[in-house]
Amino acid sequence: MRAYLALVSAGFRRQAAYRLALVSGLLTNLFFGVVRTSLFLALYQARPGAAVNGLDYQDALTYVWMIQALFGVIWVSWIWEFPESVRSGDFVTELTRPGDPWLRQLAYELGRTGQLLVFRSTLPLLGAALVLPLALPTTVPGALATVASMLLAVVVSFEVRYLFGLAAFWTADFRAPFSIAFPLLWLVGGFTIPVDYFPGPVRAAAEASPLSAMVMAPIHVAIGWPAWPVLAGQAAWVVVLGLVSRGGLALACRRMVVHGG
Amino acid sequence: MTPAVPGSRPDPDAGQRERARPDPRRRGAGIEVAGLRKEFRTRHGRVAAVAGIEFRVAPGEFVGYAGPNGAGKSTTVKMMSGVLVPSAGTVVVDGLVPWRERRRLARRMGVVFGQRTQLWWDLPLVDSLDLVRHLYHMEEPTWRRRLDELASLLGLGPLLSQPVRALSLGQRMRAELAAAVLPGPRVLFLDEPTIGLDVEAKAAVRGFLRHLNAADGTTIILTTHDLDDITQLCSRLIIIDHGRIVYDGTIDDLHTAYGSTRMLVVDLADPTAALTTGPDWAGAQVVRAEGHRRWIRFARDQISAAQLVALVLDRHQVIDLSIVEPDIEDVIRRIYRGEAPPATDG
Amino acid sequence: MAELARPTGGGLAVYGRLVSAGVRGRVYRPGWLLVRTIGSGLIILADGFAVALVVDRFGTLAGWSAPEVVLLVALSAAGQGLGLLLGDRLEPTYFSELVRRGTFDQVLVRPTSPLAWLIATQVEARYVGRLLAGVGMVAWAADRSGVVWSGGHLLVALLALVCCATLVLSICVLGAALTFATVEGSEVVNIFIYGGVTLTGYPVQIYGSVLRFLFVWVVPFALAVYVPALVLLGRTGPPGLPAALIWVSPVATAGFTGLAALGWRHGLRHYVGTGS
Repeated sequence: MRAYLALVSAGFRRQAAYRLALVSGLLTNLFFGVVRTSLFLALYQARPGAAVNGLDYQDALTYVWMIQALFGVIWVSWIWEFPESVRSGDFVTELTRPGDPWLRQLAYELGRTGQLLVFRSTLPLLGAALVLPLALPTTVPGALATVASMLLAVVVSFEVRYLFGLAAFWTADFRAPFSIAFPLLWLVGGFTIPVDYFPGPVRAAAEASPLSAMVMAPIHVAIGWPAWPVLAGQAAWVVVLGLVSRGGLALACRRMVVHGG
Repeated sequence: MTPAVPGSRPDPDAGQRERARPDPRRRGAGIEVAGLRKEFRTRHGRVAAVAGIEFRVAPGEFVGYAGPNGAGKSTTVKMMSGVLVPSAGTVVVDGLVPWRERRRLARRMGVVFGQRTQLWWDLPLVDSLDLVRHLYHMEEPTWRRRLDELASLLGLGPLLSQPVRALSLGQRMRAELAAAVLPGPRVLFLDEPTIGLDVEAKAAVRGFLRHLNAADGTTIILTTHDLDDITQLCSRLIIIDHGRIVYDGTIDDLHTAYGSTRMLVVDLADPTAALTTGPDWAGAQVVRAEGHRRWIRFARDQISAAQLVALVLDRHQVIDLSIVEPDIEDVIRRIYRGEAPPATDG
Repeated sequence: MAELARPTGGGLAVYGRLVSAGVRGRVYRPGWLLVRTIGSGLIILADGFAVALVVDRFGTLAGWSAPEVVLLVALSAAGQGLGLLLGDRLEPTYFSELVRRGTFDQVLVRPTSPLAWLIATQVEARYVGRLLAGVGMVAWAADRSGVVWSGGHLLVALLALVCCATLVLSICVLGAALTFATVEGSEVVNIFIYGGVTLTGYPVQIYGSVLRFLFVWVVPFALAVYVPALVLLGRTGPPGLPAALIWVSPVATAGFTGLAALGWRHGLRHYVGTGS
């Protein structure tokens, strides 16, 4: 157990070393946040006071800034490290160490994304909250639920990325499946516009997918949806995807041992 | 159309005289370096990588440039090839100031970096060489003739259709050389070209460089750690340490200055003959005897090879003899360590 | 043998060959390239779809209909695709690696302009997907918004494409020049390449005055895309940014490009002066 905590802390410290990257990350967040705030403000001007698909303009603005907060931790910059280590053969050492490689990676990842969450995500979010009428939770339970939801989203995203990374065990072109899938994940996940705006059946499909556990869930919790159903749904995906990704790893290892990766 | 005569008025742009063999002495580029300094700003303040060096290279010389790591070798070469601007002093290569007329010089210059490639990794070798043709605006017939010549000299024939990534290190180095000399540069900078090569590949590379220098008169600056490169190829050696030149002269002078020894190897007609040395042999000693062969070590500053050979021939019947250059490594190590040369008197 | 390498002649043809060699060298995995190209195009289509959906939901964005907004998105995306096709590898992460490994020194000993060499040999073919998707979306959006494709309008659309691409490439060049001085600091340019293009996808009047000034007069994306779109759609444009400014678009783009070229020269001189 202590080993895993040590990994979390190591991950945290590793991300903390990139000072200038933090600054440019903050500036990027800020920029896109401002651009999309302008977009939604202008959109809602046409329908003042109205709620579109259940979102009023405070919800929409909250969406904008929460997406900025989540973006860097869901689609992390180090997404190819795992499959690259598989391709280069470095990953083999992970398998020879005692303990659970999947858990170890999760621990390290939590450390790194944790650092990003604290420094890169929350600062612009809180800054925006001071200037704009966001629909962030004002109660402690609400805030806690939001944070919990964000953490669960991070774990789900880890598992999803892990699945894509497993492709490296089977092909050197491990970026290909992701490259094709990403536009769909991008759109259906809700990174350009909230899933809420989608027409009925598409929206239902999106919300049933793990993508919503990864992206829209924390936003819905933040703007005031009942937290427990959302959190439960996220937890369910954590379990399901966890089993699938771990199963995938086991399968890959067996194949490697048999074929001599 | 008279063929060029050594010493006559040189005309380097004589396109018409392609068939005549020009004087190799005017083919290569001359290099002049004076008061050259290069300082870098580091965490520890200003560090002088090159702290005032001076030398002249005549056209067609083959110069070895040696020194410990961090001595300033690559910094000097960068300043000579125009990649770096000196802090002080002057460099003139083939009449051009490198960093000011970088592209003009680039047309007349070849550079080979030992561990990096200038070839296109995934394309067949001949495609890379074709690109060289276009980069340097070579005429097709000229290029083809030159390519055939280099391909036969370097044994590249079967390699031309293969992608560069499929070549072994030795094959790749031969290809790099071909690409670098294809446009007929007047000066060639080589940075550790034989590093990592096996004996056969090294021999091939060295043979080619020797030919290039002798036949085309190309000035060659060879930066290397391999002392066999130096002894086999270079007429002159410049040693740099801590940004300053600690030796500049011929290999022989190096031995003379640092009092190193040479070996005379004789094959006697009579294997049982005892080769004894006497007081007039000036310290020469038989260090090894096997069958016909005797190894005689002598100090060049005490007796010349000619004198020693005369002494041996005088006393014995000799079938064959040769002189073996000693370990230059030892000499250079002493220079690196900062040993001043002993005072010489003629 | 006289000088085998001739001093002049040839010019641009050499760069054409370098591009061909660079692309051929990387297409030994054509399947992979195709996938990434398609992926690149799909992202743009997804963005366009999302924008159309959301503006449609609301009816209008600052007086612009959904297809009209998609026209903006499409023009800027296509321009970005063309610009990144040429300049993507100048980005700080790649370029700093090039410099660190000493590969840039090798480029310097070539008898060519180092910048032209870098661009020509590092064409990122997969951005063709972005370019084509953008052009396709332009066609769709123009059709839905009733744009008449007269000769003049075709030229205007082409102008928008080329100006936007030139701006993106110029920003890439500035990024590379900055990389000489500071590697991580130069990441800032990505904000302009990606953020700037996103910003240009929406009508410029929705932004505050600071942003508007920045992207109309400093990094003139709005002049490159928004103003030509005004002309295509037959709109007069907001006060301060009328359609008549179309004549300023190429001038402003050229001005910015000039700045980028100066920046590169300065950076190169700095590099050659101080070494790596």
